[in-house]
Amino acid sequence: MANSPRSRIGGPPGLFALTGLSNVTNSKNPLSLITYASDLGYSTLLDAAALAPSSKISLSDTPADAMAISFYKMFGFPTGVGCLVAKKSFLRQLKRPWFAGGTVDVVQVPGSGYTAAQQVHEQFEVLSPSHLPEFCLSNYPACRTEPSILQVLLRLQED
Amino acid sequence: MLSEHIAYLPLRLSALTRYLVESLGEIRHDASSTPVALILSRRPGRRLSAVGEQSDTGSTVSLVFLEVS
Repeated sequence: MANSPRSRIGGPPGLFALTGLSNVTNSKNPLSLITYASDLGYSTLLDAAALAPSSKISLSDTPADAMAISFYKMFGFPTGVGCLVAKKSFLRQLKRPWFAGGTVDVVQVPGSGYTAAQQVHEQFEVLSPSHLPEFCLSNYPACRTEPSILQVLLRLQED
Repeated sequence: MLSEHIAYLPLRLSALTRYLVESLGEIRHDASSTPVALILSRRPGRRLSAVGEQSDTGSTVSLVFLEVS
């Protein structure tokens, strides 16, 4: 890509996904690629599942459109809880070809009309959330002294 | 709790990873003196010396255990 940069500005949308740290190769990829790809017109996703537990990440320095985090790789428990930190402007670009419970406010029956959930992030939260992992997270000893974890989740939902 | 430790993790983890990789590399088969392990993953490069520094690799080690050749 570095040898033949092709701008997507004005062209069809493209997503550049970067693995911050690979558990296979043990390599950290240069996060500057996010800025580079963004300058070329790509939407950017930083997979920080393995990177976040042991490295500081600044979304100011690495302005990815979205970043995926896995909490079980931080605490070891419970599985299945993570988060996607995303810019609202990025989510608004995404078009879901279907809907399911929780992602819509109103469905017309009979008919085909529906009203998407008012909050843009709720449009992508399919089905009811499992509260068991949240319960485990809030009761897991390592998290008791880290109240900001759940607060961050709630704040993300509010934002 | 995690946020308190995250500044220490790169220093501690990279030191442990380096020790593990170097120790594995030194193990030889008695019969042939050939290596017992082949490290596949990237090894820590820059040696960290202070809390807060960021390591240039992670701390997973992929390897193949070799038979006597």
